[in-house]
Amino acid sequence: MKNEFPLLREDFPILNEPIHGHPLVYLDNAATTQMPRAVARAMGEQLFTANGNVHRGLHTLSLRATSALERARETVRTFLGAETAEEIVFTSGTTASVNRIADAFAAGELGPGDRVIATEMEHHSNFVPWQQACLRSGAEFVTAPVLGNGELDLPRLTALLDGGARLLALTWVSNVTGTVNPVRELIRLAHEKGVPVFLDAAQAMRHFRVDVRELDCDFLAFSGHKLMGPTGIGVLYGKIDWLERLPAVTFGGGMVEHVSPESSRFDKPPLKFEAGTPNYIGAVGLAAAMDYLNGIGLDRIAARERSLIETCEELLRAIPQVHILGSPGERAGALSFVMDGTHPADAALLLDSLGFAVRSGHLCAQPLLRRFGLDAVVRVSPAFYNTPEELEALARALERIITLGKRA
Amino acid sequence: MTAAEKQDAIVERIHALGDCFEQYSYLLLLAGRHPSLPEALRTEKNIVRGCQSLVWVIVRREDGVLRVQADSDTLIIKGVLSLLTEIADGAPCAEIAALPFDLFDRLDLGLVFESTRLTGIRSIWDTIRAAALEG
Repeated sequence: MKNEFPLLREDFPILNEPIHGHPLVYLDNAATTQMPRAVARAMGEQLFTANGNVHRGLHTLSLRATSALERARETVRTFLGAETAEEIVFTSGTTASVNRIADAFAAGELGPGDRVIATEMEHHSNFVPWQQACLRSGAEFVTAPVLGNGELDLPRLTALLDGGARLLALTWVSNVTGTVNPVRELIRLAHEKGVPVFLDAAQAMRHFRVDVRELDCDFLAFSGHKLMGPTGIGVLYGKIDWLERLPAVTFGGGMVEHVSPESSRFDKPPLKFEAGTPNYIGAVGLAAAMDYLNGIGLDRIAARERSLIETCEELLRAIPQVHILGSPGERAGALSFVMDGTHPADAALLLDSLGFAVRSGHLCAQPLLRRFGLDAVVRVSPAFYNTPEELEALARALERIITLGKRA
Repeated sequence: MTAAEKQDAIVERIHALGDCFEQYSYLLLLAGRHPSLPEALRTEKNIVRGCQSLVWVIVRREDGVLRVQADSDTLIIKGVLSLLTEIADGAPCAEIAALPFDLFDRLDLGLVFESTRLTGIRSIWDTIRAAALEG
């Protein structure tokens, strides 16, 4: 098939935005992806033709908005391969999804003598909520270590699953090293020991075809804005048995069946976990983004992004002053590095002045950076609309910056 | 030269440089020339809060004149500190207290002057100015 990926750039108007007089080279897709016209159009149409608060309204706009929200839920269900739409909870993003379940575990599942395991490579959003849930409930919070190559220490993780483990918080893909974890194997292992798994798929959604039934994860979370959707919308998938069993932790409108001064009876999932007006415009945008990605082909996107990250690694490895974190067997979407003589913040500023958008800092993964003895790195994360030529240009820009560092 | 004149001279000098990359390059050059603080002075007490990079500032008054030492773990910010030191170090306290500090409003240095970083840099200047206002 002809490579039409460069043509797709036309779908993303922002890619033509000049930055400091240079063409934009957007390589911060692990933080947020850019939005195609089709998504903005779908959200605009919803706003201008069908905006009304969802559920319980009897007027036409409310009914239109409600059916758009439920259609979006169905699109997400299909995208994830979930059994029923009741397993799809809309949240504001991955962080909210993790907090929702961590709070529910703290309220109903955890106590002294229990243990929650998070890997050392988790983003803070799949780490801190569990740590805090343990502090509140008296459970023990332990981290599963990462090896020098950026992969999980599987024997040590397996050992931690024994004796009192009540949940494993696991990322599919590291937002720092891009390490792809053997999630199917780990979920199987955890289940053998009776431990449920919360899978953070925020960084994985564009790189793999997701099938929650095949994965068999108990929970899965991701954010819309990392797959060409808008910010402020995310998904919490939970197996229906879990969602029925866990207590509601946020309360208000939209999630109750009956309220009296003495007590309240809550809706069934997913509404039980969606207190307040949901971001239905965002949900419409997310569904449009999924349709857009499906239109291109998820496998083709995954292949394109795999090839870009390989090219990126090859180009950066050729620069002696650049040191890439880890060398995992499989890397997806992102890689991070440090440079001799140039602080990551300086590198990011200098790159920005040349039109390159990359991320620098601790990347909300301080435990992992500390594991590597660092407090800041530079991260490059291409998406399918990037080109090998842009990565070439990045390598040349880094060489220019290194020369500058030597002069200073 | 007064502190105000020094500020004007810096604006002129940086405007004469080329694009954003050239301006950052100049800050790197300044950083290279700017003296580093000895480890012993890079203490928690001397850290200026509100900056993304680590920034240490020590301001003293000597016979009505300010003495400023500053350092950062990132070179571009160290370059900025070099500019602030150029204005304030050795200046009469009264002059710094009265200076309308608008260096960053008059420059167009891209990210250095955008919201969060600008707040950080302003808090560095506030630290210097607070010392000038003391007593």
